[in-house]
Amino acid sequence: MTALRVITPGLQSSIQDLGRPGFASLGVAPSGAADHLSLRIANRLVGNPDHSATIECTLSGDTFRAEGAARVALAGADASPLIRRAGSTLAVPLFQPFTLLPGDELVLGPILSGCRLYLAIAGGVDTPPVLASRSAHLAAAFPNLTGRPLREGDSIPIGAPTPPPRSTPDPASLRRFIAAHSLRTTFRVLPGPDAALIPPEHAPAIFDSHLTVSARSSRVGVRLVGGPACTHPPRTSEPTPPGAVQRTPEGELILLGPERPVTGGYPLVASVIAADIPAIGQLRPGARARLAPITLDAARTLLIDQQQALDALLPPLPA
Amino acid sequence: MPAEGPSPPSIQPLGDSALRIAAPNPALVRHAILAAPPAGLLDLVCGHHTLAAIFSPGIDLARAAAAIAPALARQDLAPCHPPRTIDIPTLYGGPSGPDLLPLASSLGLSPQALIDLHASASYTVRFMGFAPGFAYLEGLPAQLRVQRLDSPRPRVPAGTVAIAGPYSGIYPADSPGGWRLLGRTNLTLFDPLAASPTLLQPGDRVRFIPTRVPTP
Repeated sequence: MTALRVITPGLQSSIQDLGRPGFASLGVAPSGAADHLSLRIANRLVGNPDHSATIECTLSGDTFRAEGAARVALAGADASPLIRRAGSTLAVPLFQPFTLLPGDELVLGPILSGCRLYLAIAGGVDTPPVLASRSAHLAAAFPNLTGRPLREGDSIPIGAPTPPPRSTPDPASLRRFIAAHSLRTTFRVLPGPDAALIPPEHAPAIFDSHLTVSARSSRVGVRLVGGPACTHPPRTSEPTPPGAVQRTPEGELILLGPERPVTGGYPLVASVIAADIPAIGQLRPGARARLAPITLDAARTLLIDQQQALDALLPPLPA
Repeated sequence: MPAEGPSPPSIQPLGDSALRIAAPNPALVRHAILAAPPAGLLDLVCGHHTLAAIFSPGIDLARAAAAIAPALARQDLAPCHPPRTIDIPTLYGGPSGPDLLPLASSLGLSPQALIDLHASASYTVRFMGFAPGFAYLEGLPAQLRVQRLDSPRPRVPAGTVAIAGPYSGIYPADSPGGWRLLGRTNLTLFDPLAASPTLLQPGDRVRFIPTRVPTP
């Protein structure tokens, strides 16, 4: 068993897997990777099952020291990572597995476009699961690395590696898949239960308009600003499904993320379709985004096509 | 918004991976559905007037709705644990409750009268949500019904006692929040390593006990 040591933390890096559905009735959001497509690709490239825990970096990545040899892969937003090895530096690729030798420093550096980058290590991050997942829930009082971002000096234990995949695809094909599915900025939406609260004259400013991602965005939700303010009648707190879009009286649209409040009182004016939820996690402050209405049948087809396209490029490990 | 009353539960899609079930008592419908959970069900979350059945993405929602329809026809199941009464020692006002003074002033009450009103009521946990261990407490006196803030505060400290709309609540961890903050308790509302992770559960009775210093 090996470990990665955090030499310099990124802006907000945390342990993430596919999350902990099943506890929402205790008020516990599922958490998990903000972009599960990038997480799945990174895991599959090193021979991990999709649910293995990875390191999710936000806007800037960490510098890690390998305490033993490890096969790793990076997937997600664009970056220019490198390895410091015995006095020299080597550029390392995204979307392609490579090996860290004991003592290597992996420098992930700034994220250049998009918001999040995933580092998978063969064997997976092996911290103790809490409520059936290793995912950090940064907004809640969870213990140790399930409750906070990575810090300088943290030692991240890695499990026993499984065999590598027999072959991995051209990194350019995986990069194109992520560009099309995780880095898109048009979000297909279905009407929410409170869609009728949108005054008709506000609809053009909400749908098919370019809105700006606020710096007050997080794993709880990504805030889009630029829409008109609107006073809604008081509403009871009701459940918020994955991808739900809340509208605040100030006119902000909140695209709820993996640490969303599982119930909330702001009106739900729309829902981002499941196929486009990973792209919410890749919106960086200052980016422009647009909501485009779609039908339920089309949403389901898009999701199934997305799953099939990913599996055709890089099949999952048999469970 | 669904009306209160005996109308039968209605089911609608909520996004492409969930169903929204409107029902007079969401908790009873939840028990009925959990007695025979449909395939692909990940979470079943109650709100005030509705519950959400959240499924694995890609589910055929029409088929899922048909699978839970029989459970909606029967609501003969009762909540499964007897109610308890839990006392919440609360330090009102000051830095612990920054909205106490402005709220009292806008309601035409003295700060002490507002504290007395809030602490004299008996509350019941209607449902859990918003954050891990956060209980929506029914029973707030009608005079204290105020709207949530137009824009949530980015950070409300753990243990903060607050009100909004028809509810009172206690923030279990530091988090963003849009409720009006009255005071603070030192009790632990959520411990994910405990056998029962939440201090409060639906159906529990809750009382707020004013203190000078929050007691551990």
